[in-house]
Amino acid sequence: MSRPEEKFVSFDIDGREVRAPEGAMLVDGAKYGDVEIPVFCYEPKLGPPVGACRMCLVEIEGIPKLQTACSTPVKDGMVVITKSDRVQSAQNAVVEFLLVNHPLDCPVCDAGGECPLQDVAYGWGPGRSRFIEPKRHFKKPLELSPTVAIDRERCILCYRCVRYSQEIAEDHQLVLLERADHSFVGTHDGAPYVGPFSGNIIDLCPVGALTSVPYRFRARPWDVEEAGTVCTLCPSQCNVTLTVRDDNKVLRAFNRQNDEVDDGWLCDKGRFGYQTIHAADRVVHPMVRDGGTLRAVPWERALSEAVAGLRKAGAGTAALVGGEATNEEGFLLQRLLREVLGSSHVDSRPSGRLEGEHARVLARPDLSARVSDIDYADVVLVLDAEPVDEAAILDLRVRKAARRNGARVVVATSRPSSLDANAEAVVRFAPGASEAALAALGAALTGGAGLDDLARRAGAPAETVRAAASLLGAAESIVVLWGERLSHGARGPQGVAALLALMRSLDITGKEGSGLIEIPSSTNARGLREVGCLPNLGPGLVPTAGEGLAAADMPGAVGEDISALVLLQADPLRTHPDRQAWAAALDRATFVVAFTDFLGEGVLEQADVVFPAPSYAEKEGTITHPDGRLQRLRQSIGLVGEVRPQWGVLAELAAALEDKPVELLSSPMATEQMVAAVPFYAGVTLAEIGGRGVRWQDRDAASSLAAAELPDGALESPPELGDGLRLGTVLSLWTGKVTEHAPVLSFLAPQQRAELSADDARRLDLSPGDVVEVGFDGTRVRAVAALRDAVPPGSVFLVEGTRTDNATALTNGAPRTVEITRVPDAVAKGTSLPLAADAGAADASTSVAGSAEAPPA
Amino acid sequence: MPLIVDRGADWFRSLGTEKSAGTKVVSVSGNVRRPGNYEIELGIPVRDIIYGLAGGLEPGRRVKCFFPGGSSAPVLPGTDENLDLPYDFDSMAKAGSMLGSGAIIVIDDAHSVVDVALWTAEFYRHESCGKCSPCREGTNWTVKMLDRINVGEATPMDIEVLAQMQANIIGNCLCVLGDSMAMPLGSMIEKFRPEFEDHMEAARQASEAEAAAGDLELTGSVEGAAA
Ligand code: SF4
Ligand code: SF4
Ligand code: FES
Repeated sequence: MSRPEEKFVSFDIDGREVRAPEGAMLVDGAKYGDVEIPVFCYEPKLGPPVGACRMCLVEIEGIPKLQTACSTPVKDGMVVITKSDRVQSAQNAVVEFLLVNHPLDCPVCDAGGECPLQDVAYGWGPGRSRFIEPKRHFKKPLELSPTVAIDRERCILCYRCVRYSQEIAEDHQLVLLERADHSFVGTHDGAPYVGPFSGNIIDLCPVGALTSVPYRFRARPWDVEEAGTVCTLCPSQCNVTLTVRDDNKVLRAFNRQNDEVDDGWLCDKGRFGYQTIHAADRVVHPMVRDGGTLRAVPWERALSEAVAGLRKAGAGTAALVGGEATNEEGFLLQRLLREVLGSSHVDSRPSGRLEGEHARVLARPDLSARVSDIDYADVVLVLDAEPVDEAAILDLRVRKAARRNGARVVVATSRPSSLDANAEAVVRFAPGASEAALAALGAALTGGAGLDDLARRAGAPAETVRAAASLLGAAESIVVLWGERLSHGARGPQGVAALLALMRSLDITGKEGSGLIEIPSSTNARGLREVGCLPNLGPGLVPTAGEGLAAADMPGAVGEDISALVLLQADPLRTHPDRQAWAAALDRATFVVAFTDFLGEGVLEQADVVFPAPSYAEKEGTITHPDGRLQRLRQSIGLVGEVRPQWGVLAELAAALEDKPVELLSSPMATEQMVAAVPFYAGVTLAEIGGRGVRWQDRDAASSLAAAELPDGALESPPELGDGLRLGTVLSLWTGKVTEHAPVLSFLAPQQRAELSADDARRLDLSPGDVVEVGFDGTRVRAVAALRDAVPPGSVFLVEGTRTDNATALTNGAPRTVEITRVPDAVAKGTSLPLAADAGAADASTSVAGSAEAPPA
Repeated sequence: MPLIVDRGADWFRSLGTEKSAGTKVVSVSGNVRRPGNYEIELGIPVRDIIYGLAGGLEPGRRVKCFFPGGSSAPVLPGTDENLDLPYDFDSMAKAGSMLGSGAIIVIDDAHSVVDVALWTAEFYRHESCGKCSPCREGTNWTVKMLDRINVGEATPMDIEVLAQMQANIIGNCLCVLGDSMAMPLGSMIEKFRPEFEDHMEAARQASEAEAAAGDLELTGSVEGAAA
């Protein structure tokens, strides 16, 4: 389906001539004439209207009965009346009916003061109730889940939450139980409603029936202010509104709809993760290591120790930049390294090296799709990525495209995907064999020569590759969501080359509404890359004079070329491959400076200076969405504790190292300098970015990106697959600080699971729930065995970034085969892992996929 | 069917009235002596169906009202005028009801119209799917009000509210189920309002009497205890 063109029609509403887009529902069309029609069940985000609540009845000339404006599209010449006695009495009637069973407990209701039912009752209701019978009663509020409370007495049965669960999240958990006036919202078996996106029902509920557990009774609308900013907890960069009390406390986050980014949804990580901002164990003071332990010190001391350490290390300083850093912070850090310390060892990617030419080609405006292109794509290809875990909100976007616009979904991944059920073709390749899988797809598209050999190297059945290729080949528009992961590791460059070759065979640059969207490994990975946080590329993806070491090569150089490490909101022990190498490197480094909000074990044990990192609610600056949209972070609360703006600290360090006065005085100045350094951002102002963001590809300055054409050279032959059980590592939405420091999300903290096929489990004599060790030689990680039918025999999957038993202990950027052994019960009891026999109960982000499968044999 | 095939459409059309041609199977139920399904020629008088085919009422009983076309049709009082109406689509519509499914439900004068209203409302409350507000809440509220009339806790104003509520349901629902209750209910209140009022008043007096008796009993027992 291609993006529909907007056509306007005119119609008459309450005696006024109004022009509105053709096909718009009357409720929306009326707004073009400033006429408000009250609604409850209507919510365009939920798809086609259902006409259930009857609040929106209007008179249309020529139709005897009143019509629901939410489900009647405007037509040219239509005459609509919304203010007649007839309409008014119907509106009065519906409000009266809705209030029949509503407890009217506004004074103790969280929604009071921001409740559509209150507003509509005042605006369109009869003003008094004639109902004196007993109302229906339910147990007051119950936990629908640990995050959402339900008060069924307040529910007006508008169906929004149920439609959301069925048609947006597609988790099919919420239902309307019973019928008639005893209907109520619940789950099939009374189980908690848990899913990656469950909190959206709080925003959707037009009354106080669904409320946030952590926000309940915390404030009334007149006690708080709202601040718009962007969630930086994953690359989706959803636009959020933070509810702030007393200028210093975030009490809640809810959606700030931006259809080009998030469609008005948030995941539960973004919705409840704000609790980390006020976590008791957050780092809010500068610290230095003193007698072996970190102690809080005044800023001056921390700054001077950092300056001394970095001055000593000079060009021997290396820096890792984490995805929560803003463009300004990344820009200032790489400038500090390159221009002040004379080092190019700066990397924002966890693994592998992105070739300069590849980086520029990948940034080509004609090769990049925008998020909303997913809506109208003919085919959406999900490539070596699991959106729900890596850029959560894009998962809903793909589901929407398939459900509403008939997009055909092609999934090409190693691990079974939660989108498999929506896919028309699935290519399941061996972990680490994305290069071969891409080459095989390319071969299938260009006549099939060598396909069988390539498919074998990919570990994927050739017929699945053929089926996927034929869908791709026939598509008029294709959006490719590809995981940065495929560019990682030693053969990352070959992976990217195979991706670009495939794009060339698909002629993707010649297709309207088509292109790539990279799902990067961290929130602002795209922006950080573009502002110069790569060892080989400076701001604007321009090659630098000297090339620095990429992250993967840094640990080996510590003690030789590298003596000091700067960790800007980066924790290599959590997120980078080869955990032991990093642990050793931190130990060997003579000087470690960390900017962080929580003390990870590496920082706790090895950092010499710790600067408290501001949370996203305290930051001012810009980040760049994976589709190239520059977005603004707006400071929403006062800085917590002793926290200082990070751009300011970086500027101060640079100035002190150069013995100059600080010249950078404000965050907008930092933005200006950053923009001036990136030619294709040239001229972007904060005002232009505004609340909606601006894609740099859509601006004139985009033409200053000097990028080559898609390469058309022959591809190298991908390596053969090794024998044995191949290890795949995956990300989880729930690893990291949100489940460790936001109390309301702690129940979602993932434990390490080894997902394997029933075949392999049988061969290894393992049952679900067994505690196992996965590894090679002496390196092992403990996990609970979980059987998943869709896992192809020969693969096992572990999660990266868990608090204990992190899978990164087993990875080093090269495909890896592992052994699995069961830990005898007696030994297992003493481990960090609970011996729960519930390994079959997948963590929330994968439960959708998990439950679609047959139970393990 | 075989007859139509055998004798042709014109023959079939020659039966019945101009606008309601042919025959129809009607199902007569309620207070008649021979309830059942009968095939009739459209346009024969209602009286012939109730008193002829269905065997009439029990001795001494009169038709209080009847649903001409299923329980969702507005009721018609059992006046001579109504009983003499030809049973066809047009005439039923003109009389303010409808022929609908052809299910004729006869209510005799032994029954209170309030009870009939309550049965009807209870049936539709149970059938309501609950999706749209006027039907879900309207059927439920109607039942609760009728219950209240029955236990003597209603006032004449409530009957007015009940009547208005039926009007508020009609035409405002997602499907016709809400109307299906509101149309007969509305017609019952309209055509039998005095009976509603009498019933309500009787129930109120009965409940007052009961309350008084309860008071006496209570007093008695207190006295007993004191003795
Ligand atoms: S709980 Fe809220 S959203 Fe769900 S049906 Fe009730 S009123 Fe609607
Ligand atoms: S999807 Fe990502 S950006 Fe959006 S709310 Fe969740 S964590 Fe934040
Ligand atoms: S808003 Fe139109 S029926 Fe609910």
